[in-house]
Amino acid sequence: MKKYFLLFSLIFLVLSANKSFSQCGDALLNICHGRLENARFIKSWPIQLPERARGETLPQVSFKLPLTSGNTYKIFACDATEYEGKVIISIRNQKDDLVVTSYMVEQNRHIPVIMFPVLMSGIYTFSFYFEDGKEGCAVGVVSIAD
Amino acid sequence: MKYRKTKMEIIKQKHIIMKKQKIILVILSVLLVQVITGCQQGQRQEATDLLSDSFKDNELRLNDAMIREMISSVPNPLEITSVLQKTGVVYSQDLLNPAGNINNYNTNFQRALNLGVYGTDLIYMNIYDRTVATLRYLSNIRELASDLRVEQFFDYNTLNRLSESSKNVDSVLFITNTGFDRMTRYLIDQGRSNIAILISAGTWIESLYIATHAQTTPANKEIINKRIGEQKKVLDNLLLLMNSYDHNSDFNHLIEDLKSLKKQFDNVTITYQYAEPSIKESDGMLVVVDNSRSIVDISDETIKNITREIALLRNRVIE
Repeated sequence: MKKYFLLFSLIFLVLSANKSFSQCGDALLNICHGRLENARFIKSWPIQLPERARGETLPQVSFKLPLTSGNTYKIFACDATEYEGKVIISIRNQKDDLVVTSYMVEQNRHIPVIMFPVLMSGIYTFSFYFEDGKEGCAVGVVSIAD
Repeated sequence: MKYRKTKMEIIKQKHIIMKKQKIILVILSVLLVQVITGCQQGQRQEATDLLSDSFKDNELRLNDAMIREMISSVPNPLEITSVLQKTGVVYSQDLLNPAGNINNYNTNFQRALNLGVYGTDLIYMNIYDRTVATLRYLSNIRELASDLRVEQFFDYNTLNRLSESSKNVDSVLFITNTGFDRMTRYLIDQGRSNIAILISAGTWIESLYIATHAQTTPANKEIINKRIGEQKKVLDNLLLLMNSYDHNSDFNHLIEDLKSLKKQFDNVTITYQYAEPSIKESDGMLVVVDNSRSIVDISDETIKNITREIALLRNRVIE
């Protein structure tokens, strides 16, 4: 009986520890929420991607969202610290032309926040992938800046 | 001998107790089943419509990913209300669906639509810092969400507490928007896309109603009219979504109303001028200078007709 009790206690501890420290998912959004500052939250997407397999294309996810002319959007993402991957955001207009990406290739640098004063209302595509195709977890956030 | 007799009696008694326990267990099980089915019947009886939670098998259905993407293409009410606020539109309580109307909503169809309507009203009030006035609307959202079995996505206690001060507007908007977002995802995952579509339609109808009835200077009104004209594409998507449910008479009536509205939107022309954006870095942020433009051609007459049609439609939704 004691053995069972110990075993159950151990399983419970392992499971609860996993829950407490895992940042991926809704917990990450709650942490990321602080970066909104005065911006008004519109939408978030949880992003979790595996490591790029050899010979395969870069894993990425895309979401569509309407943006309205006259609004300035504050767009950013937060990485879960337990993963190595650093997320990159790219935004395309409805003609599928690249508008902006959060990674400056020439300078090999990530820019944490994109400010986008929209002058063309329409549906934009937000794509997320991790630098060098590493495994990663992040949350992408779109908000309206004052 | 006496000992043997006693032992026999004990065994007999044990048998009787076990039998009794079994009988009690059976009675309890029957009662439990009755209570559960009774509750379910009670819930069903509360809603007077037969709005099915899922598609019929033989229907051509949009897959969940398509529904999710199309619902995402319906602008968040924050989009248009932010434009209204920036263009100097004054707050008007008269534009909102009166909180007392909740007692009129006896069907899941009405409840889902008006959950979207009240959600938009809540955002509108928050944008204009009318946080204290939101309490009744929060309560309505809670009630409608509970009727639709999706109340778990809103932390009402926190929302109520935050609504006591206008300093917490951003947090209220964060909780409200994430709540609606998670609820939509859940509904689609549960095969209840019809409810998700109606909530989304309700938010859009109310946003458009508020925008068309906004009072401001002529110059600002022109900006708002262009944003109204841009809703032409949203309406097309909404109709595509709703057409999957046109076998339902309530959906069918709403589709017909939306089609009347579409006739007015057909007079709107939108053209796009694409140009490469330029990017600059400022304070550690990337700032996009958008050189593309959308040009919306919408006449005063069309605006007048859209205003009339959306008012008719919206009043049918909230009555």
